[in-house]
Amino acid sequence: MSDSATFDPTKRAEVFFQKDLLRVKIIASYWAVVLCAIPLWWYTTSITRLPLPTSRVSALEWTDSFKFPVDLVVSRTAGDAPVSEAELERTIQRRTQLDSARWGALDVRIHSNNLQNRSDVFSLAFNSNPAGAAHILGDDTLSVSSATYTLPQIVDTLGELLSPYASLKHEADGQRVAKYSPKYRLSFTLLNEDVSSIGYRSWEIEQSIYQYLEPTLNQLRALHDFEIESHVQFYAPLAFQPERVQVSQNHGYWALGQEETAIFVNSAEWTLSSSASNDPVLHFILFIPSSQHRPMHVMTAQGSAANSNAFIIPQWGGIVVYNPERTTPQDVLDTRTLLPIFRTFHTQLQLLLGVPPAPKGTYHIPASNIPRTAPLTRWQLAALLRARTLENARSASEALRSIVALVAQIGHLPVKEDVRALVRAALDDLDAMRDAADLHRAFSSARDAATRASAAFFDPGMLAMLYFPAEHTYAVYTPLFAPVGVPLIVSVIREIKRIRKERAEERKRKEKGKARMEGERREE
Amino acid sequence: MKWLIPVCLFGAACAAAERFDERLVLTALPDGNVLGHWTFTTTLGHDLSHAQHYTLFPLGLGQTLNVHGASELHLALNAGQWDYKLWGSPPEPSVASGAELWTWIRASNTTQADERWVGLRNALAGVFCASLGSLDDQRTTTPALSFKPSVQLPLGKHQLRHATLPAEHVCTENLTPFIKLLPCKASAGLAALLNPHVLFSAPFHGLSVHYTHGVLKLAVQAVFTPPRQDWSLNTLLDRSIAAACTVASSSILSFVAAGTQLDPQPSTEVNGALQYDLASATFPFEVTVRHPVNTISSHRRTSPSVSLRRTMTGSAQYAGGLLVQLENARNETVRVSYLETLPWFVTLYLHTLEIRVNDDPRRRIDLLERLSYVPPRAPAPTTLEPILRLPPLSRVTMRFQLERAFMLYTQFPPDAQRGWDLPPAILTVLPASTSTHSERVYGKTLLADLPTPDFSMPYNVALMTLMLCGYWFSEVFRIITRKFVVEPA
Repeated sequence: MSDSATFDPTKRAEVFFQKDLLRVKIIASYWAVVLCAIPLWWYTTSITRLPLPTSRVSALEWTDSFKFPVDLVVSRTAGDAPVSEAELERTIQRRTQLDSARWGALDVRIHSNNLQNRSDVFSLAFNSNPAGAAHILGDDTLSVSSATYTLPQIVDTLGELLSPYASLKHEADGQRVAKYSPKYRLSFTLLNEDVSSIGYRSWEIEQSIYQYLEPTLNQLRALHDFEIESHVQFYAPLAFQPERVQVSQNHGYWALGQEETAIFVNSAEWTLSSSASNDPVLHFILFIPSSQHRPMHVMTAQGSAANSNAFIIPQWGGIVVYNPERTTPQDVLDTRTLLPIFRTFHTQLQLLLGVPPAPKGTYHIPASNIPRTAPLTRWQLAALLRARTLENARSASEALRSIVALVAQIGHLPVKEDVRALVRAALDDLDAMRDAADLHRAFSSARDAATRASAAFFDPGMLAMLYFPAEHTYAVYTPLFAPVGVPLIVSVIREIKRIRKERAEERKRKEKGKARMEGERREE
Repeated sequence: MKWLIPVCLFGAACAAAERFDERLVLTALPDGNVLGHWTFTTTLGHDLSHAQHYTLFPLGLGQTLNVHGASELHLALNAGQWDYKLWGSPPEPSVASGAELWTWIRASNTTQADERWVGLRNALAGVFCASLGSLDDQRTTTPALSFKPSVQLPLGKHQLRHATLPAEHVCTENLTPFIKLLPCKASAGLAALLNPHVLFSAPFHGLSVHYTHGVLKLAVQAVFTPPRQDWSLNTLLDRSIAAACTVASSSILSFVAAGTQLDPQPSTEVNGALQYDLASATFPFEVTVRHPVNTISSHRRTSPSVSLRRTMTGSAQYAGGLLVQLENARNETVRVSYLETLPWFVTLYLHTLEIRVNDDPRRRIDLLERLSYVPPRAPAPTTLEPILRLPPLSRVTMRFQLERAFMLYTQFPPDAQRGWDLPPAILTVLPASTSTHSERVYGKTLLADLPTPDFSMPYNVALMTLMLCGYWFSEVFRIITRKFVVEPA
């Protein structure tokens, strides 16, 4: 195309140093650099999103339908038992189908002979007591009277012992019981409304806890660690005025109804909580009203004075109101006076921690007569362990599923190695729980799974990129990429247009040439 | 478990040994102001142990001190400037403006001590609603000579941590949790007189917390301006005591002002101070102070023997100097320890240290007995602690040069143009013998002007560079890919 010898400026010719092919090569090389740089830019600005084991997480529905194996031995010491194992098994299976809320999480296996070397076996015995009450002998034997107990009644009692939560009251129970935590702080407060009128300066708290609560706490240490603290408050005014009920001429009392119990705790003026650690606190308050507000009674929902003069605030703690006659400044609340109060605290503690009560009509006969033996039977502990294990397993699987859904949904959420390690460890713990040999190991695996899943969900590293708006990215990239990108794109478009135009002209010329040649041939 | 019974009984006996004393001392100062000093002392009877059962001792504070291993703790929150000449030595020696926290932490090594220090100051920030969490590495020092434990520390290795936050304000949100630590709170006893409106409009006011070996002392000191020459508790503090604190073992109100008439008559007189015992008083309790005609009685408190004055010299932003003037008013040689803490970006040149006496032009390095110098290591600050021997009745001037570094733009504090508050210098008069106490004198807080960059520069630089890059690219690209066409002439 170039002709250096004869350069005719009048012809609309190309300039000699210009080559179309060279220009195309230059543009192509710029584009090659840009295309090679794109992976480098992508790699350096990407967020670490390590892949999570989503297939294992999506297979976690088994936690909703997990069954605990329970071994029950029917002991035949008193000759012929009125009920055979086969009948018992059939009845239980029918019950499982009918009442899956209660029996759905249990896999009851009946054995006839004593399983040696197993410590977590429950046994069913029969006695010939005509009176009819059922007894729990020792720790693990349910002894029913063969005369009065029919098969459905036996299965009912067994159901209440093995799974006391799955009933219509479960929803209320679930909201009253505090969420599982490996460590609890139990805070005991002696709250005097006005110590100058009526009140106690000190109480024998350590001795009372040791005598009344230690046995149960020792048994519950399999589930939680407890840290106990106590203090005395001397001026703790109420934030409201309780209602005065006049019974007779010179006798009346102050009433705490349902609404007043909801606003009883005056958090603004009472110093109850402390900021030393993050463990949940269960408060147990002994409230002594002042002489203006005494005697003070807690009303039941029906409107009568409650016997225990106490109430529970769900998931928070319990309050007992005590009305002493008169006090002197030297008085100390001694252990004997604190006995009924601590019995109430004991019940409140059991209710708050979810310890199931013994079913109606059953009496506990302890194995030995030594005082301060374990007050809870193994039936109750096992039922509590099962319930907490299920709670932990479900919360762990929910947390893991939420993590996977969140990571999938938010594109720029980073997932680092520690989060992935925690997720993997939580999944391993859940598998260990499923294959666990006994209940205690299943419980500890579920607890570890719940802790790890929660740690992974609330990992602070995941939040770092959440608040990085896209506008900042555009604001930084546009001043460079716009002046660079526009010429590149425009030049490519121009080249394409030029090539198309040349090809069109080439074709026209060829056609003209062909037509001329044909015309010449016809002339010949 | 049988061993628990004697432990529990011991614990119960110990709980019975807790006692609470409260005291208020009102002093009429020579310039017409009234100094009020409240002390609330709770004695545990034994050291903090793991059994957390208290009656009078506050549970929240006890747990915090126990968990973080603080064997001795001193916290002061002050506002205002204490005038040593007019008002004498303060009853609570820590009068530095802002927050000052120092503690002896039980720890086996420095890492554990640092961890416990972080936990302790954050926990105290929660208890007192003060931003003590910002007493971070840039402000924490370990002075070797100035802060000794007041009582024998319990067994175990201890480390000292000291930090100041001069810009911290004191207000009602600090007073309310402070009062909540008391057994009687604000309903009874002397704490009922703490009126936040009057207290926080006083020329000087401060709260302090001291814990040493089982004794917790909460103190409030304030200098009030009485509205009239004859004043009463009601007109001065706008409060009166409604009831006595019955759990207090002793509750005493004392007046130090010779020659005034007090109504009602005080019950006792101790060392020139007229005292009322609130346990045997009638309530509501009210005291009126009357001065006899044409006389103003006041009590001149003893001033500390050494006074301190510190100024920044130099007008350049990057370099300057510090000039410290120590005046010895006693007629004998006094040994003092001077503590200066500078942040890491203010470089102190130790070789420029000059000491002169009165107007003598000679350099008196012989007055410097000992020097403890911890050089800065970002972010840890500089700690300079010389021990000087001040000649009798003299004025000793100490000078040294400083240079202020130009920091990275991310290292500046928020509101960087204000500058950095240099913590007040602390002068400790070392006792001649071991029996007398050392007294501490605090200087003023200085503001170090930091050379600040233009904080919008990173964005300017980014935009300008990108613009130039874009322009250069488009020029080169245009030239090498342009199509030249020859037009006929």
